[in-house]
Amino acid sequence: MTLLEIHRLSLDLEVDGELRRIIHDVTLELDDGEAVGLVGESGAGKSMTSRAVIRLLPRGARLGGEVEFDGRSVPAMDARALRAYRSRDVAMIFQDARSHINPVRTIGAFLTEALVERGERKADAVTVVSELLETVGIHDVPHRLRQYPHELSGGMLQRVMIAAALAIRPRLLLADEPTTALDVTTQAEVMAHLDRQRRGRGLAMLFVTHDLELAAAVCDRIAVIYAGCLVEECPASTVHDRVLHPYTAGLLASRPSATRRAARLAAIPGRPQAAYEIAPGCPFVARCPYVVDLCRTTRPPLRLIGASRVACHRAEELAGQLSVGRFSGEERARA
Amino acid sequence: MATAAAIAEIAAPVRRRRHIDPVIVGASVLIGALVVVALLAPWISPYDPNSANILATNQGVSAAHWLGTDPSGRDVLSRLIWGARLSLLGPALIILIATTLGTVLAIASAWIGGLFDQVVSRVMDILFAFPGLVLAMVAVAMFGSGPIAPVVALSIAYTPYITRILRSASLRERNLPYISACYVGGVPARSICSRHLLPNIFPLLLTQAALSFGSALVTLAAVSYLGLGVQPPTATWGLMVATGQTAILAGHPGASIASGILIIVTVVAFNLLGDRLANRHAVQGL
Repeated sequence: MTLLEIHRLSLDLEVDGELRRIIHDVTLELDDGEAVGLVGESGAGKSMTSRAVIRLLPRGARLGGEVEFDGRSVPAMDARALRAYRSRDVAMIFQDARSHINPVRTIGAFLTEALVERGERKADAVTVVSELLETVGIHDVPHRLRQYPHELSGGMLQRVMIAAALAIRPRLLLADEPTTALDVTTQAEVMAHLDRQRRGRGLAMLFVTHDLELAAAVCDRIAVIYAGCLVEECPASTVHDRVLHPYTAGLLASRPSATRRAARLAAIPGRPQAAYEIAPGCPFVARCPYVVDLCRTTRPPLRLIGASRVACHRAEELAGQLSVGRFSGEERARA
Repeated sequence: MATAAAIAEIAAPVRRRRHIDPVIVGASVLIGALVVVALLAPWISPYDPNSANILATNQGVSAAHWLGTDPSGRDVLSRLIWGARLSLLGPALIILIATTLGTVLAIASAWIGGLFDQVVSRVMDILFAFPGLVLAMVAVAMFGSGPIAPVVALSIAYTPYITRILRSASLRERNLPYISACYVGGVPARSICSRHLLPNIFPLLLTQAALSFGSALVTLAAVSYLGLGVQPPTATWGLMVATGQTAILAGHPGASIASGILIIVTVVAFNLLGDRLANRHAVQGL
């Protein structure tokens, strides 16, 4: 059953009095209990997409298209419906837990607030969050509940944040780079807790990250976003074998490998482009090694190919030929 | 070579002592003592503050009258003790009203923004144009002298100072991520303001209240000195400076000096307290 449906989402922000396009066209569906990884470079619009789902947008933002949660339109909700939606149906896990938790209130107050706010008894709320803290691997819970955010480490705080998100028993988790601010070992641990809890509870999750590997490991499907456009969406299981968009191939080529030796780490030529910079054609045209004339003039629509959806004119033609080597250092040196 | 014991000693977690600022302690103790004295006035004052004795006017320091007597022969120490009541209660009321009003206005305008914020800010700008003393004098002219009119007028005069500083602090806080996190958690605006925003601007509020208290005390004393506030024979420090000044030329400055010094000491205590509180919380924007 479709839980979240994002249809032709677009977003404009007002910058210095003029509208700037942040998201062009994102169409995405999430089923109940399904995890989708939203992957892209910095500024591609992935965070903004997740924020649009919960309507946490800067002032003056203009939203186009439709976001439907369980058949209800999110942009059309009034204040009361929005509050109910935010406090019961969705929960967000932010990247920087330290700045998203009120520094002058205790961990216990932070965790129980949402529950108490919707009418549960304080004592019950404490029991619920204590159990949750245990399950995300925090020991000495009664002591932790009395501590303040500055007394906890970053990894610990992020686990507190995850517990807070789970506490309201949502149906959808929005995870906005939940482990990016943590160091690598803590990252793995926190991610393992998040993944286990999500699967155990059958929650749907929109997982925003720039780490394609990580997304492939914890998600069912991967959606790749570039300059505010969704360029490819595919099952996580096929992401390593069969990608259809040159950008996804480029992303895969640019990760360091433990087994392959390369003199130089491959990179996609050029620089990431902001959504408002791109021309009417394909957003990736300036950096794509497979570009043809059609790409410059017409924006490719999303097309279904096998189990994937891809926005590339040459997808069928290039299927299976998108090589990692096209982006590698030696290749470019020869060209 | 370092022994295991020595290493253990070095590595043992040092229990960090909370740094106590002696100035904050000193100022608080002084202020606390004044409040206690004011509360206990009926029991600790040696004489009735209003009983005049024309046979013992303008006396110097003696065993019977520790701080001497004023031109009407009233005991200066007793009058100082009783005077502490209204001299402290007045500014306390002013600060209570001004900070309550100022905080509510500040948070509301930072939160609501737009036209409401504009209107509040402009009204505050207009109020800034009137010095507290002038406003108090106008109020007395309109509503008559006595303790109430100056207190109300000064409360209004001090509100803009609190509002302006707390508004900018609230604006800064409301754009911080933890507030959006509350938003997203579905916490109603009322709770976000009272339970999240207010505690975060509280150090600034406290500092501002302490600093304004000193200033309000002086202004209210000035109002009393001019004879516009509390009327004689009720004792307040400001009034005592005024009644004592006739004796200064006669060579008996005791009454005026004693009450003047008390005003200065109290104000300095409040200013130091406010100043150190600001340092302690590294409050910005002051």
